[in-house]
Amino acid sequence: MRIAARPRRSTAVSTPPRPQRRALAARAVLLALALSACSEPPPAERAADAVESIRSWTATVRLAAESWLQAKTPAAYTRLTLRKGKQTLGDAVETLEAGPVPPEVEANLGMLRAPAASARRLAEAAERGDRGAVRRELAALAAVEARIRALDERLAAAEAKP
Amino acid sequence: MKLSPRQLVEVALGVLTSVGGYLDVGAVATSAQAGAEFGFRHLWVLWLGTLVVVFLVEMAGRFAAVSGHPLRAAMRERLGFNFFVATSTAELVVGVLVLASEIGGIALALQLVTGVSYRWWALPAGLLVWALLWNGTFGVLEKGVALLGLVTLGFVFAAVRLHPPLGEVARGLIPGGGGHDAAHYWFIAVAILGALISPYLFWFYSSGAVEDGWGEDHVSTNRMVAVVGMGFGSVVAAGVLIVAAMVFLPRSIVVDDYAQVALGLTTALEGSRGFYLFAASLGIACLGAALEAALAIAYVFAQGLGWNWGESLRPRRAARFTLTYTAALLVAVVPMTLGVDPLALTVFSMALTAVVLPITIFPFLMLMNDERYLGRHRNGKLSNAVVIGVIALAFVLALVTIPLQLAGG
Repeated sequence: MRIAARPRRSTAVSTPPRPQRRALAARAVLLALALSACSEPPPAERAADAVESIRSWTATVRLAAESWLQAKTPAAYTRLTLRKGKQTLGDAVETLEAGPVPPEVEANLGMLRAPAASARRLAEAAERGDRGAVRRELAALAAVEARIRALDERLAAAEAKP
Repeated sequence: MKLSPRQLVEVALGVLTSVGGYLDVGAVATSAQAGAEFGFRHLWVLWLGTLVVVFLVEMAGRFAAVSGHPLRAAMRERLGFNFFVATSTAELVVGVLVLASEIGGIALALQLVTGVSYRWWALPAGLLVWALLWNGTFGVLEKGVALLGLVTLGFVFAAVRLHPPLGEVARGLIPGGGGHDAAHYWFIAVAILGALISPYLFWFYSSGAVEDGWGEDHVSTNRMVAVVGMGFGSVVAAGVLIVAAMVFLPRSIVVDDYAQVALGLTTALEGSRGFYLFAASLGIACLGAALEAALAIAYVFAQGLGWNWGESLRPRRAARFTLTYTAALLVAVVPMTLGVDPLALTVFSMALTAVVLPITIFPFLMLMNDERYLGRHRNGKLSNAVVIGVIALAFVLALVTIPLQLAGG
């Protein structure tokens, strides 16, 4: 059944005059900006997010390097992922260094810098095909990861407290 | 319902193509993020989204089969030009963003395998999609790419192999909250629904039914394909979520890059096959979805403006139709070439899809009850109740998406 229906005319609706529409648009923009401003997280939350990112990417870097050691992933992917890890870890540390952070994070900044350096060394070792160096670096990174995990859990618990 | 051998073959092929074509970049990204951060707790969102998709796809197919009209052309006829312009503009923006995300998915799959940045692959990926559209016919593109998409069943295989705790999986099927990070939990839920209930799917499906020459005798086939195909397809998305929950959650890996998603299947399977299976799944699923999204944009405009349309027509017989998908592809490769983060763009465009859902779904209610188009195949009470429920859901999603994006996106 084919239908040759005629396009219907839509009913005219009254629209506000142009200046009123502009004012409405301006208010909408202001509301959007206000909402965006509200969404800026407080320093403690920003620090917790940065620590969470470090924890996540430390684990990613480990998993990527372990997968390469087991010949599960090609060298090109491993190199890119480790580089991305190094960059993201570095960015997260910069965020922590730039703003006010809780004393516990301040005290652990040295430890939080370690995974970025480790990702760089892992990337270099993987590029050289030096499996021994990758294994040694992974062992060191596992210890750091455990400490970061503990720190992240303490921060999350502190954030959850009323 | 008795089916002839020819119809059985059609159903089987339709089910296979639905399963193979179910995943796209949005479903991969949102399911992986959900599993990595919240374990199995978003599984219920997958079944809810699939239920909605099953009903809407069945309606889109039934409408096209019975009336010979694709949905978008009928919307233009019934709701007028102003409605067409308003909805098409919104859908064009979302459609191009979705298309950009899918091209990003193809480019990322190539990056995974070659190590060359996705930015360099965006243009070749766009050209590949364009060349397939230019040279291919509807049947070849729809069935060929979707059948290749069966490679995505690797996620289901991996999920089973990881032995997920069945009790927790079952609990995930029951709707629940997000605990301490509720805003983020609900933002991901909205993004999953946006990824599953994509308007382009309905325009593509109903236009495809017209291209395939469906008639009233396809109503049963359509119903079975929609229910069984989409139902099984959702199992693939559940596979992605379960793999992410089993691999990433215990390691506290929050997914914010596709390189991380690749590690899920890599860890789950022996040797290097998991890695290459992931790259193939991502590339083929996104290729299929990019073809559908580009065609859907062209279908919407050609059908609404009364141009010649049809993927099986030679490009010179449907010049404006061809020009529309060419232009959409040209625009869509730009964000990826400029280095926009593919995962962020995907999640954002899926959330934006949720915003435009009400204007997409509302006309279903009107059209599916129009006797002039559907005669005795009009919606029954159950289908209407579902559409009303989906419209209500779509309005809620549209209202909460932007606040959730700000609070938890």
